[in-house]
Parts: sequence; C-alpha cells; structure tokens
Amino acid sequence: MTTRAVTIVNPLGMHARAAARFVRTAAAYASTIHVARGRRQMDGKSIMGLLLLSAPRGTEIVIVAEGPDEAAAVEALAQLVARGFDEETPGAEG
Amino acid sequence: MAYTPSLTIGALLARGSGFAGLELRLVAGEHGLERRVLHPAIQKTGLSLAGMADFVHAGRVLIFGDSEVQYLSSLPPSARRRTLDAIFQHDVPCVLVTNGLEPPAELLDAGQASNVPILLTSATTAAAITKITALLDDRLAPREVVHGVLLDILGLGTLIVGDSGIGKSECALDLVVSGHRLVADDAVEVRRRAESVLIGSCPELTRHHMEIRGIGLINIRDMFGVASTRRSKRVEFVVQLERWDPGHDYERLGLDDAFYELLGVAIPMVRMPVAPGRNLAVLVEVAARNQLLRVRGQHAARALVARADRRILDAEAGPLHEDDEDDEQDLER
Repeated sequence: MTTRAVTIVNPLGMHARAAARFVRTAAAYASTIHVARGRRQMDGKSIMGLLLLSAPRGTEIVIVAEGPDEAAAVEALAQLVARGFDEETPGAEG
Repeated sequence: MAYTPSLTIGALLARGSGFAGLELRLVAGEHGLERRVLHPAIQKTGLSLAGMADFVHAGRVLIFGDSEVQYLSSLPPSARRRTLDAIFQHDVPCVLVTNGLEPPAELLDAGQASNVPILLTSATTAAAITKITALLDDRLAPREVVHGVLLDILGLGTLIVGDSGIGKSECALDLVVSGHRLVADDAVEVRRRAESVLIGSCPELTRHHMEIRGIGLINIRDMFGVASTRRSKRVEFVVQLERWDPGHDYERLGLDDAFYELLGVAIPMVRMPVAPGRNLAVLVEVAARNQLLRVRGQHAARALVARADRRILDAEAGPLHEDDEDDEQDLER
C-alpha cells in the first residue's frame, strides 16, 4: 500500500471538473485507489464520491493506492493535485 | 451528401393539388414544363410590368393577380407584349394567374412564344401564395440522406448514428419493442425547413422496415402494430454509438454540450460508447429522457455540480467539523 498526503492548491478546490480529471487519471491504473479527507474515505475512481469530499483549497487529502502499479498511481495523482488539476482558467464555473 | 433540389413545372402540376389543395391548370407554354423552380419564395409581378423587369429573380414563380391583370389591360395593346417579353427575358419558371382571372391574350401568346408555362388557379392570390410557398418550401428544402436510425423516443426525435455493424438497428429494435416508434432504419432522409428545423423521414420503399442481421428484412408495422412506426419526425437529438476506446475520455459529468452538425444545423448530441454488458437501448432511452429534461430547463449535471460547488465554498468559509456533520447526515440518508 502506498499513501501520500497532498494539499489542494487550486482556487476552486476539488470541484466537479477537477474530480473528473482525478478520476480519469486514476482509472488509468489497475490499483484500487482511495482518497481520504479527515475520517471520510472515498473511491478515487468515483466522481460522485470525490464530490462528496467537498474539499476546498488548502484542504489536505490523503491518496491511498493498493495494487501492482500503486507507486506510479500515487505519484501521478499527487502531481495532478499539486498542479491544481491542470486548471487553465481558475475561477471558471465548476 | 447534402443537395438542394429543384422542381420542374411538370412536377409542380402533378404535385400541386395533392400537396396543398392548389388546383393548377396549364393554359399556355406547354413546351416549358422542364423549366425549374429554384427558390421557394414567389414573386409578385408588380412593378416589373411597369418596366422594372430587372428585379425579376430567376427561378421564382411569378404571381399574376388582379392588379397585374388590370395594369396590363390598361396598357396599349402594343406595349403589353413588349412588357411581357422583357420579363420573360429573365429565367421565369412559370406564371401563376390567381383568383380565377381570365388571362390576357398577350400573356398567353408571350408564354407560348417564350415557352413559359402559364398556369391558372381559382384560389385567391393570398391563398395561392400561401399554398404554393408551403409546397415549394417542402419540395425545395435542402436535404441529405443520413446513415442511421431515426426513432421517436417519448416524443423526442432521436437519430442514432455510428459505424456499420455497431448495432444501431439492434438498439432501435430494442427501443421499438419497448414501445418507442420507428421512423427510418439505415437511410434517413433529412430535410431542412424554415432554416433550422430538420425533418427526418423514410424513403417510401423501405418505410416501416428494418434489417436485422440473422433474421433479414422485417416489417415493423405489421409485427408491432400501427403505433410502432411513424412517417416523419423532427430530428432533435443525436446519439452517436462508438466502439469503446480505452484511450478516449468519455463524458463523465455531462456539463459540456456537444453538437452534431446536419445541413448546417447543430443538434444536441451524446457520444455513447458501446461495450459488452452495456444495455444500449436503455442507455439511449435514458439519454433521450435526460435531453427532454434539459430542453425543459432541468439540467441534472449542472444542478448537482452547483450544489457541490456551494458545499466547497461553505467548507472553505466555515469550520471543518460542521461541514463534516452535514456530510455524515447526507451519507446516512
């Protein structure tokens, strides 16, 4: 199991489009992926699950992966979060 | 490919009464029946009789009503023919004399000489214009034959497109069995009316029929009853079936609108990946129901995302534990 804590940096937080990008990236890996915020843990391949985390900017989330490519998955997802979900226009509708 | 048809005067004579109840009678210029109407708008002859013949548009039906007949009669006989010949220099497909008026002899002579058919109708000028415009609008509409299946799903004209063999017909058959109505299978004739309205129908030969691999040609109306098919339907929604491509990002949120371009009209579209275990007919019906809601202003994706955004803003502003309690309640529900 690989685990890493990352902080949400983009202005809109983990909004719908950000969640969709996270899920898209996560779905490329065979490992099971979970995302935790506080004591809540959600499936990292579920958009609706991630939306329920309601994580604004500055929140720390923990990415947990378990499987054959867990290290690569955690690395890719942590980078995506650190890059602000590759948002081009911060402030645009979510 | 899209094409804009034209209509010969011969075909107009044959179609006129059938389409709009416009009785047409040919009285001169019978050698000009191959002339073609190119534009659905008619032209009132009006001032072109007074020497403004340059304003006669080629390819438009020329309407000759009371004022035209009276004006022509007021001219000296020598001027009548000269005036008409000047008008017929332009490519006039035919002249329609309305209101049951007696056509002036010069008009018949000029039509005969220039091979411009002269038609009579007993309809009033206003009624004749309305009817012939409707007929021409229908016959001259830009049209295109689309490879796909057109169905009426809960009142929404839904066009299913996709590569051959992807299962369009099988999906449509599923939908027909569920009580939705078939318009056309395989080849859908689409014509554009009033600039932005697309009407789909089935070529007469294959109407009510489908081809199902393993069974062959079947007659849907005979098999499922008169309510299982309909002759034409406005095309309002497109579902594009696609082979599942693991590398492609399919729509997950439904926030972004996609459109399918047909005859210059953009129709709302969803791209539906096809894979084993996905019940296509149910998916297409759900997409159609979702579209019906969107047309009525109920956009589920936008509404949910707006609530999620608000939740994030609240979480940012307020203490974390309150938000957590709120969420716990939410999850238990």
